[in-house]
Amino acid sequence: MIWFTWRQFRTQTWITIGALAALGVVLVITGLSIADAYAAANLAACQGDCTAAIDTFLSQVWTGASGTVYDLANAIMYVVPAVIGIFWGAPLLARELETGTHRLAWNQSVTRTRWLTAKLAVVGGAAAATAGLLSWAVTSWAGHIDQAAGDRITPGLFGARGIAPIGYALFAFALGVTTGMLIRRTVPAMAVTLAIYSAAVIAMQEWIRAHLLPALHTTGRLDTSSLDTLNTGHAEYRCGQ
Amino acid sequence: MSPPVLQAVGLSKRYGRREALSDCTLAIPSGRVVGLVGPNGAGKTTLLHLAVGLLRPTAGSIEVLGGRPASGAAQLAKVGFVAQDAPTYAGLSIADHLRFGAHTNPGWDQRLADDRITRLGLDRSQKAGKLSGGQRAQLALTLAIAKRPDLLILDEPVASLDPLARREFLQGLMVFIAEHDAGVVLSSHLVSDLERVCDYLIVLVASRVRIAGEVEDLLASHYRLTGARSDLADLPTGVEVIEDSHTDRQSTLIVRSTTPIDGLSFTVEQLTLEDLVLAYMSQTAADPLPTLETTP
Repeated sequence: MIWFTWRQFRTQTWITIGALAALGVVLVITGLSIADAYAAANLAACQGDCTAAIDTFLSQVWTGASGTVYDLANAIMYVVPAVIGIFWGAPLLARELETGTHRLAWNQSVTRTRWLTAKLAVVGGAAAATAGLLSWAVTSWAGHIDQAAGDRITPGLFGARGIAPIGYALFAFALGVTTGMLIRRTVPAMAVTLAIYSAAVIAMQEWIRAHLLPALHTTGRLDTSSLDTLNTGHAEYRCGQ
Repeated sequence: MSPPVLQAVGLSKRYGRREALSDCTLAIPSGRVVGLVGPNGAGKTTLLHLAVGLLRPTAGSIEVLGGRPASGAAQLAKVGFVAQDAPTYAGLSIADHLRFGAHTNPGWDQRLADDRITRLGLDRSQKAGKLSGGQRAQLALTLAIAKRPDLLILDEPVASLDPLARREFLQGLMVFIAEHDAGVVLSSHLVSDLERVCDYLIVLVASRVRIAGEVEDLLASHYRLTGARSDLADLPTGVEVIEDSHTDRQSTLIVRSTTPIDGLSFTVEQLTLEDLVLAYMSQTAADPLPTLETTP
């Protein structure tokens, strides 16, 4: 069953590997220029007030190609789970049900439970691996920028770093499989998957995530010396280093 | 006698308020080539899907080769199924389909599969989506028989084929039947497709089994009586009228009788299988149903 799932999934796998490799090349090339800018701004050695060094580094990043790639990479982290849900999840069962091939597959000497398990495990595993690999690449590529800008808590960035994209990819995959199973037709299932995924991502970012943990309130003295630390990004950098 | 290959008791399948199959009680003896005949929408596919476990019964029970359909890998291995329109993976080649069969069936007979594909003159690298209807049906049949099932179930295998492909398909099926000791159940809405292959017949009309039995017994127990209407009014006990038609001067009855009928004032003719099936098919749903008699 695993062989057959792989056989059905082969084209998508090569496309994915190709796309990941192309993105990898872009990240490596721009990554080098980021490293140069980082070294030039002498941020690593920076002690105390680094505002000037950070500004130099970031302005150099934003003006170059890296800035565009940065925005693009952040967008890709949200697009990839959607693509996984639409092209891997939705057709997984819908195409079988639509073309009637489930009647062929379900009458081989493999139980239907094993058939479904193999499909979900292989393609779901590939979804998690793809998102994980991509997120690892982008997170490490953008490490210096994120640290300098200090806004990892920005709603948009949170879902594009670390393990969050794996969660989004698995969610989109499960969503695609479920809508495909219920709608039983590939193209409508793809459309519904995209609609629900987009709604879920926006809702998560805009309204839900902020309430997942109770807000932490702190009261501090406000005077000229602490005024500077209100710029949270720089403050974090300063306190952290 | 070995246990029946398919036994259904009070088997019913309902979709919402529509009854697709109602109160079907059947016992198909082993070693037969069974024809399931009935008009489109009579419930043939429903019955066969219940037999392979693609559907669950709403009421009643069905056992195939002594087990609940699709209850496990062992049960699935015993039953080969070619679904209506012979579904195959359009994007995969014939070789891929054979590897799929080999990977998913422990009893896979690679030589049988190879021989059949070679005999059919099919190109192994050809995508299934590019095959003609007849070739696709043959590929689906190859997959179903190379898993070496004890029972082969075919749902309208020749319905969409041209006469030549139809003949070739049925010939392939007959070769399989002759070479392997497996039971076969195949459905069709045409008796002529089944006539040459089947030795047991089930007539399914409007979601009910009208009659089931050995073709030989069916032919021996049905007659066409023609004569004056008055002469046909009094029939001996044990004679059951399946269909009657009348003109001013003469009546024609199709009857079932377990004992031979002596033509006194009317003529008695044997029926062809087609006439017999048509008589049952033309019964409207409102007609009283003949009591079902299955010859075990």
